[in-house]
Amino acid sequence: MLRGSLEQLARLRAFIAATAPQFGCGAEDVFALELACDEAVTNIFNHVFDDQMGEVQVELWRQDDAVCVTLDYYGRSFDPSQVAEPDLTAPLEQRPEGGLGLYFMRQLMQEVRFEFDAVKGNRLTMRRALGEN
Amino acid sequence: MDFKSEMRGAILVIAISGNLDALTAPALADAISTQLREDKTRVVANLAGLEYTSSAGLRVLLNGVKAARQQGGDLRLAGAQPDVNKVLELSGFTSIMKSFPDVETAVASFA
Repeated sequence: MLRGSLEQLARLRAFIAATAPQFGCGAEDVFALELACDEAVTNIFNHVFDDQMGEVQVELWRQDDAVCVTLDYYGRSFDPSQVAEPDLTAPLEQRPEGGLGLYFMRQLMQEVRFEFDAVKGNRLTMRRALGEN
Repeated sequence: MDFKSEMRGAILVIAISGNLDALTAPALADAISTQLREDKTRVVANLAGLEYTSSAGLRVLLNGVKAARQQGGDLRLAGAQPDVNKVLELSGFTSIMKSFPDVETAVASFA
């Protein structure tokens, strides 16, 4: 359970680095999970909790030939399909500052699924197939 | 995350070490904009000691490059380690930022 704000990011990465190898993750998988989870939790702290304190429950597990992570939290919903993919070929002046986090998550994970429920809470599930580096 | 700055001739070298994430990136952003305000617009970010960056760190570097170039200078990268390089490539930043294997080459590139 991450309770607090952005200072929890280092704890989150340390948890993944310590836990993921037990599920058969190699160095490349651990890197991908750390970055994807960091980006996801940063977005939750910044855009859902509005830089206030909040709680995110993190679970990591192995499912067949993949490693899965869920982030459970309460707060507002958003439409992920409305987040424009950043144009990575644009010249410097036109590079957008935001949107990279979700883009990274989608690049690093085979599945990124958002579920929103005001009563039961929101859940973000990410799945990465192992051995596909 | 720690950083320290030194002048090598007319070039400002900022050595960044540790982890850059949404918590630690703002301090680096402040440091870079302070230096740019003092007209130190030719900057090398030494990433040899940087173990990790998220998109928050990249955003700081991107803004640094934009601001430096607007003032007629540039911010160039040096010594990025494999994990940091992966994030730079993932973001497509390698096409807009100049990256060098080490500080000496990056500093010399301004000559």
